[in-house]
Amino acid sequence: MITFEWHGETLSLLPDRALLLPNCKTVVIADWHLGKGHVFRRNGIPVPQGITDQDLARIDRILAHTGARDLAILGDLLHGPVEGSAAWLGKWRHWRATHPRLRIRVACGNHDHQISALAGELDECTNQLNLGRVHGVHEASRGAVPQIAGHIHPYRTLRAPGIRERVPVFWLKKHSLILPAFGRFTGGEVISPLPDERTFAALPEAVLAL
Amino acid sequence: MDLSVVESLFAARGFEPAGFQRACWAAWRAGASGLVNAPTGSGKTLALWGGPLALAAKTPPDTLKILWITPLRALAGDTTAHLQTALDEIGSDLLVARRTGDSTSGERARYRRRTPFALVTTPESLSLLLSYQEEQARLRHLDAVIVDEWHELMGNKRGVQLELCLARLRRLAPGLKIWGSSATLGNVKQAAQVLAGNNALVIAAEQQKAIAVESLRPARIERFPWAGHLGLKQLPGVLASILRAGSALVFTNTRSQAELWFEALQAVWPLEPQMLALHHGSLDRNARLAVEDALRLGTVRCVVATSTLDLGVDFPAVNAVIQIGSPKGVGRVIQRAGRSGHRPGEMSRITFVATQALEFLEIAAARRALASSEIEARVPRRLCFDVLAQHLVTLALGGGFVRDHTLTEIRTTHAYADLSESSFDRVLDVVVRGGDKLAQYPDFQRVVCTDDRFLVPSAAIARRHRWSIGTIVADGQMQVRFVRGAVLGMVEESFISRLRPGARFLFAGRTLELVRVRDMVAQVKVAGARGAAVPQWMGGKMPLSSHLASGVLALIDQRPDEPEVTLVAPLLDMQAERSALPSQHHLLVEKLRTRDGHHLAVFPFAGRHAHEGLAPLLAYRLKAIARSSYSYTVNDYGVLLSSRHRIDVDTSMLRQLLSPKRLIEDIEASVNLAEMARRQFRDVAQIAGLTFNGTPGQSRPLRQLQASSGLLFDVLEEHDPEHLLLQQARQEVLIHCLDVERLEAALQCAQQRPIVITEPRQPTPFSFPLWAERLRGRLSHEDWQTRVRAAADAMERHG
Repeated sequence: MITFEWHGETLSLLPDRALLLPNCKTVVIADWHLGKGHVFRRNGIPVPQGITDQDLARIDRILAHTGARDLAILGDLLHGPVEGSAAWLGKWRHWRATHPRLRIRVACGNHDHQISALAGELDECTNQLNLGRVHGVHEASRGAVPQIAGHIHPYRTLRAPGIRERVPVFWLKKHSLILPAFGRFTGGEVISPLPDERTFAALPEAVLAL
Repeated sequence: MDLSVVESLFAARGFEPAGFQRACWAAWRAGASGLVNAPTGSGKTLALWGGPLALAAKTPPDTLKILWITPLRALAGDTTAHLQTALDEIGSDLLVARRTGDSTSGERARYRRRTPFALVTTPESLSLLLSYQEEQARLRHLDAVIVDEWHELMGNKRGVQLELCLARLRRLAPGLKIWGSSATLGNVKQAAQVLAGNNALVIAAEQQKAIAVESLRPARIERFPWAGHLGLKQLPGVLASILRAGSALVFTNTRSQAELWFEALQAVWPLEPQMLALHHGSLDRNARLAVEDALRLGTVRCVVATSTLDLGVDFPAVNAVIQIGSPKGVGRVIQRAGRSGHRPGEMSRITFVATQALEFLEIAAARRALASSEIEARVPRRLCFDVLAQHLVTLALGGGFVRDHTLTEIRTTHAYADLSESSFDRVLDVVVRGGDKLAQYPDFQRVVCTDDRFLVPSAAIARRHRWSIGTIVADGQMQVRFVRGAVLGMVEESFISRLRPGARFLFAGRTLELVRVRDMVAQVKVAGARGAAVPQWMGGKMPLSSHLASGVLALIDQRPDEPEVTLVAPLLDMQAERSALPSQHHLLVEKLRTRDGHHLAVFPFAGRHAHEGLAPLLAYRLKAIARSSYSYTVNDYGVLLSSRHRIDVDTSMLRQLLSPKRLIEDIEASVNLAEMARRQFRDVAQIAGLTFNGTPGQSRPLRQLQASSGLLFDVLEEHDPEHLLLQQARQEVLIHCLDVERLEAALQCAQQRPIVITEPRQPTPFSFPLWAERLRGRLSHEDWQTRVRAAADAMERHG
């Protein structure tokens, strides 16, 4: 865990691609892409099921570890259409039912066309979330307002003799913090940070300043 | 069948048909199938086209009789024109049409309106045709399929794809004749049988052209050679040869060498700048065609080229062929030398420029192998499940299929002759259910079975499948284009991903600066200064063939009086003095100590790929005996293991280390097989239709379905590790990347030969190249997180 102050708010970068705001007991994630495997299978690409179970177990672990009461999702909670019969939907709803006191807020992303189908399970669904002294959105805007955002799925390549590894990263820019995608079945883009920007590798068990 | 039209065509052109051409026509008339074994420029096209010409005389219009398959899209245009000209000359008004990925929509429309007599196409486009039910009706009247340059297809997955398509065509058009042409291979007979069945004939051009193998030799050599170090010193000699010859082709083994040599020649070029040109597979098609035309017209004097020109691009003969670097195989010497001296009775001539001293031995070995006609075989691929999965979807699209008939049909191919029922059903499961663990793939939908018939019900899936059929050859290529538009060509994604914006690189004969990467396009601008990175290319990794490797050992043993052997004599003498010479009769092992550690060099001469399996295998087995960590480097001659600790081995231990027992298990434990399989999966996933190549401006539905092959690999590996396509990827790593068969042979051989261990005080001429390249390809046994930490630390240190 790496903790620092940023625009007056305390941020803790957690392992496994999540962010904690300790002052408001909120876990922030982005780009879950629920149901992505289902969309692939419907279209003839054999992606085995089990990803949703795994992602739900990961969020459970993070919530238990931090004791957070509030989950903020910065967009692309969904990947595609919401089909009533899909297995992932049942799993998500069952999980939600077992966490009745958890507040879940979503800042809608470009994949969330059918987010209204999940309205019953969400406490708030909007374009911009208040996260203490900063804002949470899906896609960071260019302005000078401090924002936490997702959308990009940033990766960096770690390189040393004989080693070449792509890892998801937190990308800290002057006015925005871009989170790695939370969903394990998501790809990403290798970014080129500017000299005054910082990145942190989000490994399964650790966060590593690069 | 009346062959008089063909005879009169020759008479009108003023030629007498060659014996093999007449033999081919006669065999054709008898209804046989077969393979013409003849070099480019010997008249193989007319040998194969004579039968169809005679057939044309009595073919009604609007009947498709002949399919002409060419391996290279870029060749289709030329071929179509040649075939049409011959047809016109015999007074026929029938048409030859072209159908490839490059075809314009006008050409396609014309083809739909008027059925041609013959269609020139590629394996991919043929597969695409078979996916349309209405096209199959047209193919029922086929008389013959002619496969040009079959040697370029056999041995890779495109060849397997073609075998499957031919099996389908044979069923659509019973009595179909299959003909092909091939360059000289060590297994021509097998090549004919794989293509056209067990009764296939081989018709060889009676006299193979004589080939003179020469080398440009410096006055003396340095005794410590390493890769790439010698080459450019020979620039003046190369330039002089080009200018003396009048017209020349300069072949290199890798694209990076082509770019470097082009740049170097440019700097000293005394003639008009446009008389020097560059030609390689990554360049944009229009740029390549312009070069080919210019050479034809004689406005270009010298072309620097890679293997693209190994194919039958119909150049006028050049006067000189110069090859930079080792030929790696005898087959390639013949093919490349064949580019010179096309005139009958003229000798083909190839001049080699060694890039390191030991390559002189490979050149001399190639000359000897040629003299005794020892040419490498090309091994046809078998049981590629990804290609079969693709083909089954194609059949399901093209009107559907029934299981039993299709299994029988598929087993008529060489590639799947031994396909078991259960393997077939597993492939069927991949396209019908996603995999053989049914519960893992709920709601999967691709091919469905209704009333025993397998069909594709979804138009979207059909569209995507057709779109991806053509992608067998593409491997993570990224378009390179100027910010303001013009396309320069394609380069490996992995190369571009290593560059930051602003970085410079040599490409298409220019120094470019990367501006940005967007939608699989690398946008560049011209950079002023020199001194830039050069893209690496697969071809550089091609292993030395076993023929040449044992040829090199024979030369070392016999030391015949040949100029190249004499030239490297001081190097061999020093090797003998400091250590011992490698030999056919023993296995040489050197124990070394340098300032940076202890090393063990082993020289089995089994080729780079096999050594890439051997090195980690040795490291793994050594580690079991003496706990230490080892790094390694390999080349075509041997491997070098390095450690911080003393590597204490004697002959009997070495024999155990080199034991062929438990080979596969130990390889699996030692190599980062998962990582290699992950890379290999890219190819498999693309062929089996799991991933799509991104194209700029594609619609969102497709973008929603894009995942990298690496990501799919990870998910499959975690949730369904026994998935058939993962097994395929692992298998390919063992067979093709690590060449396990050759490795096993080398290990068997090491058991029978004496082992000579020496302890030279300094690196020897044979171990030096390995030692010098030690930093590349290091082995690490650390687990993932520590590896990442190590990498992060390194990044810290180097900024």
